[in-house]
Amino acid sequence: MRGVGSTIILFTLGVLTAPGHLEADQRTARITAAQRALDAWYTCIECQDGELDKLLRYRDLVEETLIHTLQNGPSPARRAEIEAGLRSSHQSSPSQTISEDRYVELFMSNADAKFRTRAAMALGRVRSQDALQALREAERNEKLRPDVRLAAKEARTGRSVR
Amino acid sequence: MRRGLRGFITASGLMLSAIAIAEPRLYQEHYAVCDLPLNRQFAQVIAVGCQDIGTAVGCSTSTNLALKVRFTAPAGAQAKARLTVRNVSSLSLTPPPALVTGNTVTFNIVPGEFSIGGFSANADPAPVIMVSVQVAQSWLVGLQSQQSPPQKITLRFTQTAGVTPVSDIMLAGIYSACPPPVANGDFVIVPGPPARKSVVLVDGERSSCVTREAHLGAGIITIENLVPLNACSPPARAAIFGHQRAVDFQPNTGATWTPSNGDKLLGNKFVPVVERVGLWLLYANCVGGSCANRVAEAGTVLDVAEASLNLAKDRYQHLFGGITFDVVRKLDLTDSNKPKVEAARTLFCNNSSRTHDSIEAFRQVRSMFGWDVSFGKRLDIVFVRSGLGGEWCGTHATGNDVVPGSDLIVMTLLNDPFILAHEIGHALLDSGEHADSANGFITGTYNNLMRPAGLTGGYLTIGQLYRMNLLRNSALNRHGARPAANSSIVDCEGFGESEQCPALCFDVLRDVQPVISGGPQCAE
Repeated sequence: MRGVGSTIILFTLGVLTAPGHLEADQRTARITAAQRALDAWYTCIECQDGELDKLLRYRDLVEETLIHTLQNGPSPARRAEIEAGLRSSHQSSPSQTISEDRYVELFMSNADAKFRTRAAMALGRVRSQDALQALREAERNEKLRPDVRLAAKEARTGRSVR
Repeated sequence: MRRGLRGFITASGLMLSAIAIAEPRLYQEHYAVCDLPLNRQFAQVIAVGCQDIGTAVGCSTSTNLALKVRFTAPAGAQAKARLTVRNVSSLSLTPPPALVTGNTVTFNIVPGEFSIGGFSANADPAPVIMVSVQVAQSWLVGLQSQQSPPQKITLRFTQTAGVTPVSDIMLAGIYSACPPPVANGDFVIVPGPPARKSVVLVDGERSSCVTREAHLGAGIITIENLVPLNACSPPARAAIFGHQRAVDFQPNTGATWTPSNGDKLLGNKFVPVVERVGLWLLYANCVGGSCANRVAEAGTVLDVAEASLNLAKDRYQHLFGGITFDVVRKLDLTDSNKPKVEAARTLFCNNSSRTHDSIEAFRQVRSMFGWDVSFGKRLDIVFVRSGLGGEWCGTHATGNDVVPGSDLIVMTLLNDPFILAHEIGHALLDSGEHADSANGFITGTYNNLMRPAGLTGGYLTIGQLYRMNLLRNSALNRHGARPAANSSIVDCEGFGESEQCPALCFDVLRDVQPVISGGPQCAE
């Protein structure tokens, strides 16, 4: 009986939903899932829930944005969010001995390096020509923090930590 | 602009199902209305832009972003949302807001939907919206006098680029009436300033057994009469959580409660528990014999380490945690070129083999400095070059590594300021688990300190603080940090409620600034 009910529901959905709409819905759902996987990988702390493996299911969607992040760091919107969070945490922490601006500068640098490092690690697993080229360029980019350049090298040479 | 918005609204019909399926990022606050100051409001900064999604998934920099705000509010709620927008050259709002003053618009919160257009995906700095919500005091007074059930106001911000969803953020405020005062009963007397509230959990008996009944108040807290244990199994216990004081755990309060009203349980004012820490600054980019920018790095590592530890101190000491940290050893080895130090600049604790090697590498560095009286009675925090951001080495320590692993935290310069407090939380809970659905927490809320990702707040539940302080294998108890007069311990089973412990997610209504309280933390 349950099977019959399901069939009726599926049939009804099929009639009501044009194929083009269904395709668009599926693509949108996949994009949303890719965004969430990307966000999880960028922000995980110990990263022990397979965040990178989950992200790589969407490598076709995220490769370009990973390269962009390795080259440019987090997006302006993400930077704005991070900065707001940093200012809020400094203001809620009376024991701080450094100024709010110094605090933001320090941890914004860390956030920038973290996003680029995570992007490098993911690109090391993607291993397409474009990904490897981006890693090579990052290794040579003297404007990047040394730890980011090292992460790019490790990712390219296969010595990535995960 | 209007034409653009109509196009957006039509196209957005295609993606509603996908958006509805996904959970929004949730920022939630929970207020006791009797304590809510007149000007209290919840607020959040929301950045508008492509986040970290580039052209590959549809957020082209040539696409105008659209923002939709959906309000929900109970009937009769009197509240206003104020949106102050920065870094936007032209803005369109549909329908028009109640008030526009400069770059600030004010909406009356009634159930409905508003569209805000005019954002550019490639704007740098990104457009930012500061959102605040203020409720009318008269509405709160009504909730209190009528003892209304909790009322929830939400604002959901959905960003799209064309038909592609970009982000989904929900702000929620929950307003709960305070319980009516108990006219006659027993008392819990909590020393301290009357402006500072405490949380009290009491056991006892009435017509049924009372277990960890939660009360929130200052000074003298009146509770319904408790009677001597008869049908209920002893012991009766009490735990009192306060501002800048150690958790006061009284393991046997059975004799306090008589059949009559007027019994008094006296709280103690213990100073915060001091957990000792060692700071080891090993970070240096000395790869291949070339060490770049050492002087600048040493200052940076020290500033990051101290800022992170100061944030942890404030979080654990002020907000009912009753714990502070004292740096008993600080070693700056950023300039060292000794092989043992260089070997310990690459530490990982993400599996048992690497954890074992990391503990050994750290032991080699420690042995360079001779006998160390506080070793084994403190947490050692090591800033290294490699790693993901922060790791507590107890998660994967095995065999003889367990104790030093449980005392070792590895940090890098990829960390955000809350991560050290998060790793300390693992050591205090003696667990590598997180505040997630696998451990009874709701999903979506971003403010708990022990979330597995995306920390944006430092909130800890009473259930978490209870275990951090009282658990047998908490770092505090392993290290003998609590004073003998307040050293009782408990054993908890898993993350759920057990005979000796509340559930890890257990919390009580509170209004503690500045940390977002987060509302209910347990999954329903």
